[in-house]
Amino acid sequence: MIRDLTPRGHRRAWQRGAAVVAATSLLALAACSSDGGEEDGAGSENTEGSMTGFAADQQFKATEPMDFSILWTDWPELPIKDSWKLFDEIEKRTNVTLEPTNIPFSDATEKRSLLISAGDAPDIIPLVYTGEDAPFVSSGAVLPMSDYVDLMPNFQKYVEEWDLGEMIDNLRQDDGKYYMVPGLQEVSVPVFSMIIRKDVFDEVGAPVPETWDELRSALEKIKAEHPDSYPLADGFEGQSMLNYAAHAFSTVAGWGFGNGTFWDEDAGEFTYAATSDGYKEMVEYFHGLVEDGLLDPESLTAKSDGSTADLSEKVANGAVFAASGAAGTVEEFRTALKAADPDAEFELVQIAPPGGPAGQVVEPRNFWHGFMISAEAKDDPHFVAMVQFLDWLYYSPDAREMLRWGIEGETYTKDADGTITIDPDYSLDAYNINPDGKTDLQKDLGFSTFLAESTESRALKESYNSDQFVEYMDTVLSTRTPRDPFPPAPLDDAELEQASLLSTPLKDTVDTNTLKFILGDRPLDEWDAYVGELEGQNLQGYLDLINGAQQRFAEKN
Amino acid sequence: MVTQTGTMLSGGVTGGGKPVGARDTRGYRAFTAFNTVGLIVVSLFMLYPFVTVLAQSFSDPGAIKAGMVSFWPVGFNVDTYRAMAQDTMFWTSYRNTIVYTLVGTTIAMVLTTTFAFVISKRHLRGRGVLIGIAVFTMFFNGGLVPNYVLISSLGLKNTMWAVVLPGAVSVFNLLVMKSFFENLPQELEEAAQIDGLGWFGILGRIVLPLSKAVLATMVLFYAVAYWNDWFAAFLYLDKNELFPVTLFMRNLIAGASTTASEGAAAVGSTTQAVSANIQSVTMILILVPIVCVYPFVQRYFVSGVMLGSVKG
Amino acid sequence: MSTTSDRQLSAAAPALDRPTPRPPRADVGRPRPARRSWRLSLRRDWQLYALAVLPVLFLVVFRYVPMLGNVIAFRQFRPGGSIFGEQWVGLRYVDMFIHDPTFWKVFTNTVILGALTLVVCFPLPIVLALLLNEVRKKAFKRTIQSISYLPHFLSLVIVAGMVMQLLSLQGTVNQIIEGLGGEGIPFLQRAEWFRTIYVGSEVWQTVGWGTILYLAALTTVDTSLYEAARIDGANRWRQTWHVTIPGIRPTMITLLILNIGTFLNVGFEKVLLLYNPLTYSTADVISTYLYRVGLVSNNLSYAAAIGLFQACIGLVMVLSANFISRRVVGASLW
Repeated sequence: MIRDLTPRGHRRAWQRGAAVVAATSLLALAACSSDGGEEDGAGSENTEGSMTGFAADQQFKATEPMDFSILWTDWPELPIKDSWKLFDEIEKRTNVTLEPTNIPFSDATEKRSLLISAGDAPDIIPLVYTGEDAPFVSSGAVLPMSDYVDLMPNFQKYVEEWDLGEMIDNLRQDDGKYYMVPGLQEVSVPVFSMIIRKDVFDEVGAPVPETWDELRSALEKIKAEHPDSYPLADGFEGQSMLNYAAHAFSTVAGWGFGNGTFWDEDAGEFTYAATSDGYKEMVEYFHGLVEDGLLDPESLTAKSDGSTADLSEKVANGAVFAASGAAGTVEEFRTALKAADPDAEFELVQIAPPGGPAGQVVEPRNFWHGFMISAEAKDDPHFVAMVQFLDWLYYSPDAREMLRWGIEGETYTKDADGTITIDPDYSLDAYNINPDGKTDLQKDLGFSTFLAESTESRALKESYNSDQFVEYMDTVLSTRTPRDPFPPAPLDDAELEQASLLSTPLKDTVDTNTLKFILGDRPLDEWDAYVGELEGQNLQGYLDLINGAQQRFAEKN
Repeated sequence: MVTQTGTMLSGGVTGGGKPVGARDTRGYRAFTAFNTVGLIVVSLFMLYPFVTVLAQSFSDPGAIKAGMVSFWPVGFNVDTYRAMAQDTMFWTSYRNTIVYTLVGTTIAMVLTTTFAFVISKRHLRGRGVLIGIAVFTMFFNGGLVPNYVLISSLGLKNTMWAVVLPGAVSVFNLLVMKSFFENLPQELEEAAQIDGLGWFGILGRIVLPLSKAVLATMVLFYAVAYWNDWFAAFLYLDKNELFPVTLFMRNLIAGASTTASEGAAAVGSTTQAVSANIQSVTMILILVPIVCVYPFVQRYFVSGVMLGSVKG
Repeated sequence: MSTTSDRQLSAAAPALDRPTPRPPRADVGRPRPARRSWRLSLRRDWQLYALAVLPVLFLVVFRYVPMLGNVIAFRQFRPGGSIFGEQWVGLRYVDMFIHDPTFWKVFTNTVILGALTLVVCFPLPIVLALLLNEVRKKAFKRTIQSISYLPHFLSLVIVAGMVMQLLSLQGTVNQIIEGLGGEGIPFLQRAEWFRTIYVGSEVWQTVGWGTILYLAALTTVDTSLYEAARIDGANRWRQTWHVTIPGIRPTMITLLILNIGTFLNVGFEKVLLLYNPLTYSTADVISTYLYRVGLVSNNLSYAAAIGLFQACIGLVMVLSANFISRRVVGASLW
């Protein structure tokens, strides 16, 4: 056992653990005790190069050339190339040159956290999800963007038009300010849902399931036809399925578990999701599926390596007929099925998350990733121009269209009613659009990269997604109700420390036992014993902490 | 006297350490048979994943997704290899890796060998302190942020030195080398000292030539460590042109699993599967050079000592 | 004849049989001899000290200076604030982990996994090196050697993926079990199998690479000793036992002491890839626990406190191992 490890290996081990910032929404938000020295809107005097009278839907053009540093995440197959036109186009339209600081996607949150902690972060920090600004609030490493929204007309316009005002308020930290500006989505649908082999469902005469009970009967029929299969599987250690199922059972689970609390409207307080009746019902339901051989037990723990290779293998071999996934997963399954049998006829459909005892409920409306600005940027004489530039880049329809599609007349055309068609010389392989095109919008030109995702109008979203996805969107929007978001409960430093030490063991117990109950390793009549175990881990103390924070915030704002 | 022993010593005998058996007993022949078979089985175990990866690198991505590839390529093609060969960024990062490895190994060898030599001298006053200084660093380190700030303040960020310097001394390698040096026969050094050679000379003319095996081993260890290292580059570099190819591979392979584990929020429209084919091609391209280094290094696994030459 | 062979035998393992000289102590109360011996040392060994300057400088700059950052274990650190923390909080973080029952559970797991890995993975490269040594045909030996260290180069993500494939319910291992009439076992979902899986994959990945150092050590064993032993009537096994193994003993001891010191460094990434909530009870180690805690609050101070704790343990282990080795075997790292 010779390890030529330098001390790095050891350092990496525990530091990696400590330096990760969460990427799921609805986490406990850290509060910021008012750190003295910052008047509201400090930096607004730095107006060099900015536009006076900059208004919504207007082209932003800086009155003098300037450059800003931006943190750029390199996706594995999409490195910045010389052939890229994205930055040139931005410069042409706005007089702003962006200097990218490259970080690899695989460890992006770690590196970003390191850069900010070391005081070395670039001006603009994109790819920030809601809640990720929390750890940096108390040190003042990033700017409270709520102080600068008056400089952002596009943002204000679309928050109002798309009715997102209340959600924005939920982003506020303990001091009433919010530190990241999110990506706005006109329509918000769950990214992950269930994908079914519609042809197999049709074969056994089962309709597209609208509820979990309907799904069960369909699965039973399929199992009768294909006794060697496990008709249903998840591909993400069970976390995806539990997430979108939970909303139908009035609870949260899986990826959506967050800090584990669930807002009880009637009682006016947070309760713990994993002890509720809804959670128990959900666990019982899935346990029933496993018992009858309808759900693949291994898929609940199989680590996905991102390409869900194991799962697509099972789908390709006809061992699984329904699984969790997003639009991209549909493509994966399709390629696998085609490879296994080039003549196969099949129909893969992503269906809306099935409803349950709580009704046809899906996850609450979501923001997409947005940006933060480093604290030092406020001293840059071009500060106001920077904010205006970001407002244009992130929220104006022209910029959004450019980021997604490129240059009108060159890479795409837009006709009178707004339909966008890609130019035949170009392709967008990521979405299977015109694969024969010579130049790829994304790989070769830099459009449709991560910046393009953050803010989207419905029209823009529909323009590049497959018809099947548009159908999926329409179904969800017309037949499903998003759950109301929870009231915010931002924690301060000391509370955050406590909360992390309390919530982790609680969550571990929940995760372990959820799996055990579903798989049948632990009989369901031990449910009360499990609740008792949680209580023994100071569950009440944890809930008091969160509730206290929520009440404090409600009183202050 | 030094020259006499010198020539005899540096000659050396290859394939060192093999016991000389007068006659192979039947028991020994049976043992040899078992040994051979056992070793073959063991190496098949080791080889299997590579065969799979190699096969995948020549296969159709869809077939890989469908789990159809195990020993032989399915849908044989060299498309990805060709695409890689034409990708200038790939070659730039490959060149970076080679440069970092060469420079890093040289610096590491110089520092480690000299220090190991020094602390292998038992008579040296303060030896314990020097060893202690080294060993202590094996356990205590400051963490990501202080190291980053150090490199940044030294102005080394985004330079080759940030990748090459921090890992240049592995205390592990240092102590192993020290133990090798300690086991060289003292008589040779004493003889050299009587002849008037100082420590520099002893290091250069006596010790190093005798230590080919351990030097070769350490060169291999350091070279592999530098070649495979993506972490230093990840920490201290943020310009694409400076990234080594292993960081690129890390992004490919670990990036794919990050996508899935980060959950709903992180995915959006980019759940496109990173082509399994690219992963395996990159792995093979990164693996092959360094694996080929060992046979070269093996040549130096010679016995440097022939003690029969040392007379009273 | 016998004197030469005695001499040769003792020369083969010189370091082991000579007593390790104790480092000279500063003689308090007798200043004159101390000063004299320092001056003498400097005059005699100035070249050695000169050679040591650069490496020591390197260590100080690149290892000791960042160590100052560990002070955040005793100060409250805010990401984005001062890297040395905001204010002194004394032993608060130490208290935090001492009173955290989950911490002790994961600590136990780490110790067990580390110890198992040490016990299993330490002797195996030696055995393999000795077996390889017995191979006569050079080409065969070289091939096997080169193949055996290939697993060292495989990225952990790939290795974990392969392990999971092998052990899945449709995987090879279960196919064999079912072929023999047994029932398939979901290995990765059973906490009691995790340690075996972890150590097994460690063995697979490291045994070949580990032989390299021993093979290098084998070349330093004087071949004439084998001659002498053969003449004295020893067969191959005896030769191995009495010549080969003592010959590589210094390397073995060095590696053993170093590995004892670092045994708590259970691989974070590998465990992260192989574990899941069903196996937390045996699989969860300190680094993965810190990772999950860190997902909620980016608490570097807490991690630093735990890191210092681990480092102290490692240091104590190395010092004790060294001491015991010196007493029992007469050889040590220093």
